[in-house]
Amino acid sequence: MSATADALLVFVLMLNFVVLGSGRIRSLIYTVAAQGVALGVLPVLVHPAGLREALVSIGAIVLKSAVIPRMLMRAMADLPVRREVQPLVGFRTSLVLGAVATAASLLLASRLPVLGNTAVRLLVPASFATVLCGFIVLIARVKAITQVLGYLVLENGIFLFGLLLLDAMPFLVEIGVLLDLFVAIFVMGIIINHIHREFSSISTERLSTLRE
Amino acid sequence: MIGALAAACFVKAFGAVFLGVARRPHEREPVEAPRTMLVPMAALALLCAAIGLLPALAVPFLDRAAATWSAAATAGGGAPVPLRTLAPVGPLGWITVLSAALWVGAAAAVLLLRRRMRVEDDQRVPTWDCGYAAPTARMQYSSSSFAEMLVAIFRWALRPREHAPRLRELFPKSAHHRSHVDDVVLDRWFLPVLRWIARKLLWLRFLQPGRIQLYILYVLIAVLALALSTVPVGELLKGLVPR
Amino acid sequence: MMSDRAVDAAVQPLLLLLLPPLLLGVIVKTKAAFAGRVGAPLLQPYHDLWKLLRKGAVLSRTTTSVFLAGPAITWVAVVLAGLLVPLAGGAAPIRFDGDLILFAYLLALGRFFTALAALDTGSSFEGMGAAREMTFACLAEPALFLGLLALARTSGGESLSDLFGAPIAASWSSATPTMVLVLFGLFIVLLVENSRIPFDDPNTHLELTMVHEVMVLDHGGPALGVVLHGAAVKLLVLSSLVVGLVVPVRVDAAPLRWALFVAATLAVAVAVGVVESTMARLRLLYVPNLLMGACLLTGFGFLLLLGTHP
Repeated sequence: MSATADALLVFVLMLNFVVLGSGRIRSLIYTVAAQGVALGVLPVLVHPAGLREALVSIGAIVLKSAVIPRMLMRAMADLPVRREVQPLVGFRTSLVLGAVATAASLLLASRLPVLGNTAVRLLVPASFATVLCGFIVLIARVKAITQVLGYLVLENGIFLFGLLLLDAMPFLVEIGVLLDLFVAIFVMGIIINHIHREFSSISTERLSTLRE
Repeated sequence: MIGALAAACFVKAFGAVFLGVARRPHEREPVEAPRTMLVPMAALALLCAAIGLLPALAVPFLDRAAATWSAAATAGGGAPVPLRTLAPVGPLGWITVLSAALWVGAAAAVLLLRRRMRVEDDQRVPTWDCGYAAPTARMQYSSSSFAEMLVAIFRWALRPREHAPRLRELFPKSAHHRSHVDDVVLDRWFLPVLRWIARKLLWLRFLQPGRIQLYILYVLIAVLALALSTVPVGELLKGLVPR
Repeated sequence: MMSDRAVDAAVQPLLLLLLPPLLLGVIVKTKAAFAGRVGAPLLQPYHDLWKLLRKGAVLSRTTTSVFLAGPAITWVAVVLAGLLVPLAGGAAPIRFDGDLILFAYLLALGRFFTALAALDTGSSFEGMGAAREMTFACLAEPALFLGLLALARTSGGESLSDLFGAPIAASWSSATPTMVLVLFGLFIVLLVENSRIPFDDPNTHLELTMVHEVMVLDHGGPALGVVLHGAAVKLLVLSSLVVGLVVPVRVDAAPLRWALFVAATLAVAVAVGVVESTMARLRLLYVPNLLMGACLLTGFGFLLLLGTHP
């Protein structure tokens, strides 16, 4: 059990690097979806199997691998963009930053005082690393859709962290977090559409004209 | 005085907006909003009215919410301190019963009176105007005229602003008189102070170049700083140095 | 005693509904006596009400359902307020701690709906009356509350039924200045809430000088009857406060108690008639001053209490 969980977590960490290094948006969406599936399986592995864990699992998998990618694909269908062409921070630099972040989390995460189930030792470092990689994508990329994907990676990291506390958190909070994610992506899809309509591009550089 | 002032305020508001004849001609014919917009508003309004008029119905819910807080207070160890329940705060039970009786009675009275005084639409007449042959809609009391007496009594606190025309000639042409009352606390105290503060802090604008990525970077730095502050730094580096 | 309270609870609503027009008749007779006339018969208001209830009515084109709801809701609110007041020094049919606040606000609710019905007609006269009435009420309400608070402080109770009756006798001996001030303050509140001289002339025919009369100017037929009866009930309710202050005795025999109450209330009506005959209506500009004076009276009475009974 623990070995499978560890393997899945390593898989998730590697998917982080794929997200950091790739510029093709379609493959980014598939990568994040795969990360979602991996994460969806984890609750059942980390905690003793029960109805609540199974429900959270199924909900997460359906949401992250089916519903959200479909919404993003549909948002992308209207846009003439296929690649992230000019990121703020280049692909190689972001890969290096991601590696530094992962290393830092692996080294330092065990020092931080953390409650909850620590049987799977890789859980906390993986979650921090995912969160930091998500942040890097958010900061380093220019196109709005890539930023949404960075946000998704960030949420995956938070979900990982939440797995620690699955016993302590009420079921309602878990489902609430998933609902939040769904609504956030939905709204972001609409906003991307509006940005495109307004500026004829979804480069967020144009948004700086909103500053007074 | 608060109750009476509130009553006066709402008579003015309700009367000026809903009652009487339109004080200015409508530019376009007003169209009622679709029912999907009206039903949520009506539901919320009903809930507000229910909580206000029949407070005893809302007390169990509020008590349960307050009880979870007092339960949390016991988690820190020590004897549980129960927060006061709402029941003894006021005679909510009596008020609920009496208010229900009042509104049932009022509904009955209104229905009785309306049945007794039914008048066909074509038999209705203009309002009694004391023999003045040409009353117009503009002669009705508006909000400012309704409140004029109260504002005059409390002139020392409200400080109304008036723009009165100055008459210079024997047969003056048309002129305007305008008056309004500023929000005393907001417009005369808070806003000037806030504007002064804003002027002084204008130089901080350089932190806001308008790029989202920079803002997210700020957030990341802040979060990391907070996370690392929970751990003494020595403890963090202890593991690294011997390596 | 149980049967005593039951008797009280049965008599009070009847009295509330049947006595008020007699008060109006007494006031008219008093004013006629001062003017050297015979005046209308004592029971004339009853005849007037009966006539009005059988009459037809016309309604204005401008009015909506609010117009008829006004008198109806006002009447219900005032009668309910009357059930909170202990007449004849006993206990009111409805009593609970804090009911004096509900009492004041029931009267305010009645005023609110009367003013709304006035604004519904779309005439500037009614609007003027509503504006004046609401303004006077803002200034009169503190007087009422301070007076009731002073009484609550002397009697130690929190319900209207506790304020009156036995504690009043004790207060008259221990805190006489306060009681005198509160009495004057409450009498002035009685005059302003019922639109009597010096605040409003109930006999005037000039609309620009009216306050309450002009608010109900457009009502006719049964609605006017309801308005008149409601106003009379309000007069009875507020006079019973004054009666409770002045007559602190409690007689055990029920018939004697109620007879004493009716006599005392008629005496208050005579007093109102006397005031109406000897004073003229006050200039509108000076009315706020008089009301502020009433607030000062009761407030000062309350402060005196705080000083002497810590």
